[in-house]
Amino acid sequence: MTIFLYIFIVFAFIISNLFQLFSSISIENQIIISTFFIMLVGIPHGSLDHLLLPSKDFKSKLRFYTFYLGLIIANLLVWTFSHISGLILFFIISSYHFGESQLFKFNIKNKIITHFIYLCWGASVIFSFLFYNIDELELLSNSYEDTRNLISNINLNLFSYLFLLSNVITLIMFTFFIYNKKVKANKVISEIFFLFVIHLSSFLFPLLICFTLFFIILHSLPSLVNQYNHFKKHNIEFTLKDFIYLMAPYSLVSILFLILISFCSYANVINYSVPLISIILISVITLPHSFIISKFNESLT
Amino acid sequence: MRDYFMATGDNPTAYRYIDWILTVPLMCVEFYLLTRLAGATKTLLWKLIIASTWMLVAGYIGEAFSDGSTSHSVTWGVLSTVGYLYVLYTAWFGEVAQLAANSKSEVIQKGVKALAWFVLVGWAIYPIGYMCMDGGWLNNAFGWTSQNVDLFYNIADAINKIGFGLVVYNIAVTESK
Repeated sequence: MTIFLYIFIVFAFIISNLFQLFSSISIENQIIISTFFIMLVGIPHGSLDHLLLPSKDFKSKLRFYTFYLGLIIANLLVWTFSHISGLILFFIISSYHFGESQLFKFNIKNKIITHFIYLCWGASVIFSFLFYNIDELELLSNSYEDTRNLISNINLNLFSYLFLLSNVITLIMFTFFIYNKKVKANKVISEIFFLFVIHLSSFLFPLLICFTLFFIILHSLPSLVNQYNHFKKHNIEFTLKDFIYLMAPYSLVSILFLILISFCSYANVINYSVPLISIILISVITLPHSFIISKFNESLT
Repeated sequence: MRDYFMATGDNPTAYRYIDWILTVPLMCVEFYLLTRLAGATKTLLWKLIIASTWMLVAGYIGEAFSDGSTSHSVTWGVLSTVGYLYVLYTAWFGEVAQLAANSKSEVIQKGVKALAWFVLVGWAIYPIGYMCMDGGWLNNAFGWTSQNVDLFYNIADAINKIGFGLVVYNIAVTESK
């Protein structure tokens, strides 16, 4: 168990008791709480991408920004061309990104197996959120016309198949790692327990709550710690305060941009609902971010 | 406990807790004994005993004096879990974990890790039973009745007491070779 999983268990325990005491927590309050924590921890974890990329990968800042913005625009075009294609791409990229962030320390030599386990592990997590909360997903998507249209294009049984498939493949691969001694057995057992806890939280909590818990505590927080250690390694006098000051302006700009876009959607300046525009924005940012973090993780191993 | 159940048909709550109030702190003593060579102090021992006793006493009040209300079940459940989380933290990241890490013996490191897994997984079965009581979360959410309480407690007892003992026995045998 890692310290992050311990924090996750403590928070899950607190939330489960809150649910019990108040019978339920309204969807409005869930949105407010989730948005607050995503802005506080989730956005900052991607705010320093431009400082994390090893210098050998891009010779100039101009090239980096061209690449970064190019990926964002390309992804936006995919969403404009077809929402369903954008959503599928989002699932693939975020699955890989979550899987890589969790398992990069396995340090497996075979590249194909590595990419495959990242994808399967991430998919098993994402589809566990959706599988256990499929009714809620339908209910939420029905609140707006564009999200309803998007979800109605998908056969929701597909989520169940993908959930089953990704979990079975992940467990088979974990067994294979132990059998072939590619990874230490205790590390693999820890990861299986990790998956079990995510499944349990997805089963117990509503969609927004279980996703936010995972995204904040098990994904963003470890990434922030890695980033802090990276800066600390290069400058011994680097403090937590310096780190917060470094992240603050970029995070604030991102938050203000999100508020502006949400307001435009609310005022009908943009023809998309707030939930759909949020998904699109997160999706387009995830693509370059996952690329940078992939390179950053490579430099750590 | 079996005789009590046969005679009264009631769950032997008090007997269970009398058993646990003796055996659970003893499990904490095992942590201390394992890490003593690496420098564990008596303060650590007392902290673990107090935390585990706190966990049990709060659990007992939550269970034995239950009026069937959710607020009673949650309040004492939360208080009990604070003790559990302290032991869990100490075993995985706190003093016990650090002492094991500093210990030169690989057997002790593995043993402490195994015991920490028992605390994490094995001890976590007890709250499932607790939450089946009237007013408990599993009782409210899924309709699991108080008849399930003993089932979960028995499973947890079997796993923890036998497993914990076997780990300590294994360490003792390996270290004495």
